[in-house]
Amino acid sequence: MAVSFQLNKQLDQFQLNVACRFPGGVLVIQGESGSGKSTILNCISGLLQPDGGHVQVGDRVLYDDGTKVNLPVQQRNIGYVFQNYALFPNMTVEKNILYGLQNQPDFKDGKNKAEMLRYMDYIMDTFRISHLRKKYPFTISGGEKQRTALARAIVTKPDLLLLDEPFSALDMKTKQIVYQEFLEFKHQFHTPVILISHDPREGDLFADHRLYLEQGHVVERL
Amino acid sequence: MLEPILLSLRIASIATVFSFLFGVLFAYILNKKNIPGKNFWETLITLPMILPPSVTGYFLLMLLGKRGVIGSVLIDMFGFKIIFTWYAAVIAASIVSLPLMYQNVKAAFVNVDPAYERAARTLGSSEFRIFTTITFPLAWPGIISGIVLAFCRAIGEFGATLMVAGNIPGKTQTVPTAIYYAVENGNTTEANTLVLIMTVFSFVLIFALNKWLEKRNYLGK
Repeated sequence: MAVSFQLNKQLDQFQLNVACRFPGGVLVIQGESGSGKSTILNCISGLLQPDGGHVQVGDRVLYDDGTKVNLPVQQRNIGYVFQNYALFPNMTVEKNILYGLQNQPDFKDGKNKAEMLRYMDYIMDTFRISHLRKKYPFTISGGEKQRTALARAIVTKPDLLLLDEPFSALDMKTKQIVYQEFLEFKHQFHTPVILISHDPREGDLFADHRLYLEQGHVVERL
Repeated sequence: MLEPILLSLRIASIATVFSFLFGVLFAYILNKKNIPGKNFWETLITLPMILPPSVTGYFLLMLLGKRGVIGSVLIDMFGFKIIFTWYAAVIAASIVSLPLMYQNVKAAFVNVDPAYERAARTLGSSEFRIFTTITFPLAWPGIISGIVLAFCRAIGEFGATLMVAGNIPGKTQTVPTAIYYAVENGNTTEANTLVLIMTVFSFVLIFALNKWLEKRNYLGK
């Protein structure tokens, strides 16, 4: 599924002005801290409103300042893995995974509960977190949190997945394992991904397409 | 001696329910939504905490009195005189306990990492569901603190209550007003007993709250 975005946003230090189109796969956006990487994800997801531009995933226009289209976050069908994972601390791993599913029209208000639980089990097995189902986020390791966050974002079958430095909080040993798991994930699920990273190795490992950002501007595309 | 205790408990309980409802509502609206004049409204809510109780009582008297803005309407429409009834004591206790409730709930809401609410939005959740499943449960320890402190403040309310509800034994006499008049009339036995009850009761409530807060920590343990 092709993804395209063109975004303008005045930030404190500079004007963010980026445009990109990629046909699917993994787009890695790299750049120094404060170069506007996370702002791009926030604008695409709808958590932040750009000053102008256009965001489209497949045939769906999510934002367009010309035609005044601006879908609310809830209707964009975009998965988002935050830098600190933002797993709900008052819910078990299982409840975290169920949370997004319960918002889906097919499963809302207790509809098709058996099917919903079967699908949740499938996702938990796929991400190897079934044994954590009754545990709270503060009792699991960094790698397990990362897998849970990814499972929670993918369980709603998003059209696009946004990952904001998902590996930065992990130690080197865990990173090696998680990198391997992410490569497996990439081959198994064909959801387009935008991955933010400031580690060039992650770009080498995962990128099908690459953007380098400096002060809100694309300085290199690969 | 039992009557003022029971009346104080009734007034403080009802006042705490009101200050809980309004405290949560105001804290949510003023801190989670972009409301114009936020500082003005917040100052207005907090004012009864720093004003002398007699000043708060005087304002309430102007509102609830026979010729007051609300009092006169109640008399004209329903023939109901609210001043010098225990209802007026509930209003006084609600007003003076609201700032404590508001400040605690506000701090609790502000301490909820907005990343959780943002994550919930990306998972398709409505604002109402986010509030009931994420914001409120995560803010719960702070809200409980607000409830306990507001209840303690409401049960100890004296100045404003005296001005709008008076001190009618069996009707509007609360523990603090009963203590005041027991001391004034030289009834030290009654004064000592009520003082002891109030002190022990408040101590136990705050002690239990602190214990509970120590145990309950989602993030740390």
